[in-house]
Amino acid sequence: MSAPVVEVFGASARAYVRQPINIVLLIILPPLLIIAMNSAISTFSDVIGGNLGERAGTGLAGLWAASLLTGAAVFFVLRTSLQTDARLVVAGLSELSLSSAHAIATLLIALITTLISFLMLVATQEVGDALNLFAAILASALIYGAIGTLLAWFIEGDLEVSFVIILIFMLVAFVGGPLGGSTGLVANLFPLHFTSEIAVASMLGDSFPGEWFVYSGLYLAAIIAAYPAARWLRGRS
Amino acid sequence: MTFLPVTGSLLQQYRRNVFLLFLLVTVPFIFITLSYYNTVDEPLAFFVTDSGDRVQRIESMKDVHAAIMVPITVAFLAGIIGLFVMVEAIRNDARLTVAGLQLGFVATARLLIVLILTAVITVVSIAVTLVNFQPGDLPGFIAGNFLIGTTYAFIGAIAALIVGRLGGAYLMFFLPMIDVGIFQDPMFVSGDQALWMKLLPGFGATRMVLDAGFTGSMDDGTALVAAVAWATGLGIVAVALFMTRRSSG
Repeated sequence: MSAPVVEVFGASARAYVRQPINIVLLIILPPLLIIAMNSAISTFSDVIGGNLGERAGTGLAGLWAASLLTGAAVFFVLRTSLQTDARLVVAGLSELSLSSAHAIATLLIALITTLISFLMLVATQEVGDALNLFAAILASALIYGAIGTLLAWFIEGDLEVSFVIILIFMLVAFVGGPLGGSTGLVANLFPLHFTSEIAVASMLGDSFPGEWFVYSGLYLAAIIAAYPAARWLRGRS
Repeated sequence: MTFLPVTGSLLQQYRRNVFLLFLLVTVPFIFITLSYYNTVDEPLAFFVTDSGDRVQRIESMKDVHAAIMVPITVAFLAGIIGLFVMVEAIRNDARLTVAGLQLGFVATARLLIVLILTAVITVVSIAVTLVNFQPGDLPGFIAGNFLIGTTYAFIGAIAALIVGRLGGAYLMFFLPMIDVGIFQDPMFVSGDQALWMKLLPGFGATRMVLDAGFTGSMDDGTALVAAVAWATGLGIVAVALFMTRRSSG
């Protein structure tokens, strides 16, 4: 890692930990959600026409917690640093170094939230396929982190972005995921569809088609590829 | 200068924000409509207060979901509104007091903005649900939803003052979901709730909503007292914290 990347990444990290409560909440909220939703998701799945059992539903709660927290954290960290970033670029820092620093920060936040959710799931549930479960949660967190990044570039206000994050989450949960047993083209187009399916299958130890990994990877790659386009468009405006 | 002109001018930034106004209408519409049409039409047994007694009702899950999605949506959105109105206040209101406005006026103006925006999402959410579900006692239904909105809006404001913008966002993404969306929802908790669930902020107002939704009149005094106590208490705490922070800052 080059010195400027380390410097920018360090500044983002310092800004984040300046309020220790951010770390505390990042650690306690996923377990809280997993415990609260233990049987609720399974019940709710029946209500909206799905058939998720308790174990599968709990896995989904862990995936949602990691994704939501990563998306929100990445958005707010990036939003806070936008003005400083612009000054750093004017002062000579390359766009590549800046983007690399933010990408590392996103990866780190996603790893932390994923690890917390994963450990909670392993500690409280019988997990069929731990490796694939971890991969599915991490991919979901990274997808949400990338969405948080795009939102930071395109939408000005915190209030508006929070509404959009919740809206995306509701659509992902109700329309795009295994909660309501959604299948078909529309469901497949939602960002966490295949990662959620992998997480559910992994909780139960069921086998799943290898294409699900390919589609999840493609979604992640597409949304990451949107990042330079977003920067370019914002630069033009 | 009284607090009303101050409120009016502070409200301008929200009135001019077309995207925010668009979201204030579309988010409740999508949440509530989607929930109604995705729910299976099967019977659900739950308890309401009728003429002072707790009685069991059996209703379609579609109707229960249509009714309960209103306080869930209002709590979610009002919490976020309270949080970010207060974040805005923390950033900008020092300038207003330096310019000569009394701290009390500024605090009251911010409180009014939170209440106005909460009223907007309450009205929109109820209007959306009325397409598919007609509560037995509409004024009681409105009151319950407005109280859950104000309760969570003040929780959002307090979160902004205590844990800041990011921590507040974390909390407001999860607390309404856990309290109103799970522990007060008769689709998840059968029978009457455990005592600790009744001590949560969403208890009274959500019970008012269910009572008003599925009986001819909202006559659950305990729920009303709990809802008003939470909303009032949290409002007082929010204003006190805001004024303490400003006068010490």
